[in-house]
Amino acid sequence: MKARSQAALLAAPAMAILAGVAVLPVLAAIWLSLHRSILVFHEERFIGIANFRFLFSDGRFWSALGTTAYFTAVAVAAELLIGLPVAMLLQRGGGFFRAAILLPWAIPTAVSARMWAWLFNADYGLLHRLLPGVDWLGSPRTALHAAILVDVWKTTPFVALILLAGLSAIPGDVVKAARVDGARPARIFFSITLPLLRPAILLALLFRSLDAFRVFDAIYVLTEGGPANATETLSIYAYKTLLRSGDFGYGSALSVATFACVLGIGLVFLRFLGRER
Amino acid sequence: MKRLPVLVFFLGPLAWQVLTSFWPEPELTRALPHALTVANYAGLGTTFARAVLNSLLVAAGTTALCLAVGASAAFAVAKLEFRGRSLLFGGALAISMFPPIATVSPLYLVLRAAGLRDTLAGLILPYATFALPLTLWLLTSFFRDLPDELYRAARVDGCTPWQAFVHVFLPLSWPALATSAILVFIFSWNELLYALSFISTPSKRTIPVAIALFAGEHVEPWGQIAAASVVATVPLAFLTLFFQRRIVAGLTAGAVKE
Amino acid sequence: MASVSLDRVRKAFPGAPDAVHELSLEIADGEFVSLVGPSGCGKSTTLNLIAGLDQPTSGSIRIDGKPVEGLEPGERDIAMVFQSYALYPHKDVRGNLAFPLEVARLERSEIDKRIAETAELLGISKLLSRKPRELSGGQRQRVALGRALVRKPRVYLLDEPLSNLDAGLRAQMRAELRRLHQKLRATFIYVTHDQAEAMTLSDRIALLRAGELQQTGTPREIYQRPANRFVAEFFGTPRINVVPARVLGLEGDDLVGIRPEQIELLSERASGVLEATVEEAEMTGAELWVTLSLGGESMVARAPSDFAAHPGGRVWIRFPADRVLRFEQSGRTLSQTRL
Repeated sequence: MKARSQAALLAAPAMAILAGVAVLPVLAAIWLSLHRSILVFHEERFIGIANFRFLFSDGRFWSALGTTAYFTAVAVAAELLIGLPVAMLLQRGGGFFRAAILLPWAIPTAVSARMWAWLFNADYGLLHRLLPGVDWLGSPRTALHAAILVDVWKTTPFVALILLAGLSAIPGDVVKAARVDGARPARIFFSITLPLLRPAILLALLFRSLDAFRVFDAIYVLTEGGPANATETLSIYAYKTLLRSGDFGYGSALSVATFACVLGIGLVFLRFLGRER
Repeated sequence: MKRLPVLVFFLGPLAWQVLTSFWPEPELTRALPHALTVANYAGLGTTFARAVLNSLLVAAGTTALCLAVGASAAFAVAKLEFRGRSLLFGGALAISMFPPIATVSPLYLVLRAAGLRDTLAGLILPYATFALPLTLWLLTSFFRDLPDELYRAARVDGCTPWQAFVHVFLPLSWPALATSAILVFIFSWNELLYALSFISTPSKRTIPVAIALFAGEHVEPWGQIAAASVVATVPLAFLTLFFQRRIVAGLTAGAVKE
Repeated sequence: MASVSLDRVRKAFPGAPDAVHELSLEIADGEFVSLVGPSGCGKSTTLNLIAGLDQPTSGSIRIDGKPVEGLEPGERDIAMVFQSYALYPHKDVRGNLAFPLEVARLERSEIDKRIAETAELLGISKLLSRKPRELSGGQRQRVALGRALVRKPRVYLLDEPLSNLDAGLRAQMRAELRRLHQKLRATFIYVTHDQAEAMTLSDRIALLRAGELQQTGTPREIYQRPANRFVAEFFGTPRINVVPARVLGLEGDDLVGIRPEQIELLSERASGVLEATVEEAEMTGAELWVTLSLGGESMVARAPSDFAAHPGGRVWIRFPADRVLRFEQSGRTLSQTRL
């Protein structure tokens, strides 16, 4: 039919771009990961799964994976715990309040990380002045938590907005009915609000987990993975291997591994969300 | 007044940064400055002005590309039947979850081969990886909410699918186009990893790269960094203040089933 | 003006029973035909197939004797009125009326002339510069009708155009549609789920059920000689009573149908009557709907509003034997033998 072919034409440019910048590159990355490929030496040689064999015995990879997982779990949990009360505050309206909360989300992560780096500064930073004695970015114990704090500051607004949308979708009559039935506010929160908010919570968890797992900007700007690789996440490790060392083979293997992890997380969440509907 | 601690947490660091940007560099060791100065802003120089311009160009280019390509595709997905319709929509959603690091290595090689590495134009296409799925998602849900009968009426009135898009659906979609444009602009303005990986010439850096790599000769110029941060933040502050409703609606589109 | 003919038209959607199954229907030039049936019966799909918004899986459609296969909706010389009116929200009334003519690249002067004529005919001349959202439901309905009329098409397709109006307006628009049809002498194909609407408007009715044509005929034919039990039960309020023959003292094991208005209620015994108990009496104003219990079955009869019926009371009924419909045991087809 004429109409049908015109429809395909309307969609064709978008399809071509997505295939070109996303689908093919991922396939190409997998292909690259099966090579030994060092840019400066113009070396390019098929080596099968040797990169992945090395990856499994690479302590730095496992440490980066652990760091990434810890970062993701703690940051996302904190964002949800802070995001829910913030969402409930947002529910009472106030355009300025909403815009103010939105601001940390809107500014570039690189900018906010620089801003926090100044707050964390071991000599004159504001946090240092208020809480002397903690070298936030200098000590392996605190550096990762400092990065988590930056992520929480920046993305809690997003979580709060998703939860706000969920809260607004709860019919007011249900809450009224619970009150008429004699339930107290705490009871209403745990028996009505929270269960009905489940889909929104799961969705926020999905978006944020996938996003936190690929964390790069904040850590790159704050610590570049240091001190002593204590904050090195998968994206940082892969970036350094690719663009600092120019090792495109192993760097691609690290990228592919990161991709596989994100895919796994996504599939697990989609299964939960699917059950929800 | 439960809002006060929340506001302090989210706005306090920004306020400190603004103060720092007006803080005379030699006085940074003091608890508070004696006097304020605009020297930090004056000292930013042309390199940073270039970065602002570069970011503007890349973000605007990405926005234009994604809206041009995304609007017709979203209309097709929402209202028409064609082969690959669910593949396009599902694929776009999946791609939006890709970690960007996964595509850095092949994109680097392709851009280098095409002579687009270290160019601003060479950033726009990679930015479509995250920007185009977002555009498709927002516009498709908008077009889906417009009644099917509107499309059928246009067809009976003699329109081809393309004419129905141009004469009926596009004029109706400016709110959704505006929302998509704002969000795509913000995401592109903020992107770091691709810009850091593909741009090497300092004069071609975007704001996030410039700020991430901002360095002085001996010590970190915190006052100037603060000034640069404020410059990078002001346009976004205006966007959020004026368009917060649109931004919120766009971010939470599809978060709840009607 | 034109005839429309459907020849064994079939529309199948993947993984579902046929939405329209082997439908053959002849609609004469200038005829007002209603496609009626419960939701999901395929009536709207049929309309979309005629409009060219959907393609039949098999079978053929002719307009004015010519096959329309492969013709775009805009090339079929049809116009359509939609349930939601589907007015273009960003265009004012004039823009809405002009749009089909602009797409067809008519001369500006001709467009203006036709808009003026149509607006005059429908009494919307004063609304031409309003946007759809500034119009009432009834006004929107007129503009939707106007957008079809300006094209002077050979066939009008109307998809439940009155179902979004309130009851008073609907009755008024019904009369107006009827007048319009008589004035235009064009072919009207009208889709509705409302049996009363179909009865009052149509020259002929086609009743569909699950994609299959049950019967076509004039409203009178369909009401008095329904082809099967489904047709009999679809038309008429309250619904036809269907009970085993023995309940009415008739021969055989078949089911029989008798319409509520054919049952005469008596408060005293007479010859040739049946005795029944009143279960319930509903006052509708002009008349009384009396639910009776008879031989273990429930039946409804219509009585004058002053008839005295009390729940639990005893009444007697009689009915003209030639008004009883007899259904085959399957309940699906009606035997042609009359009692």
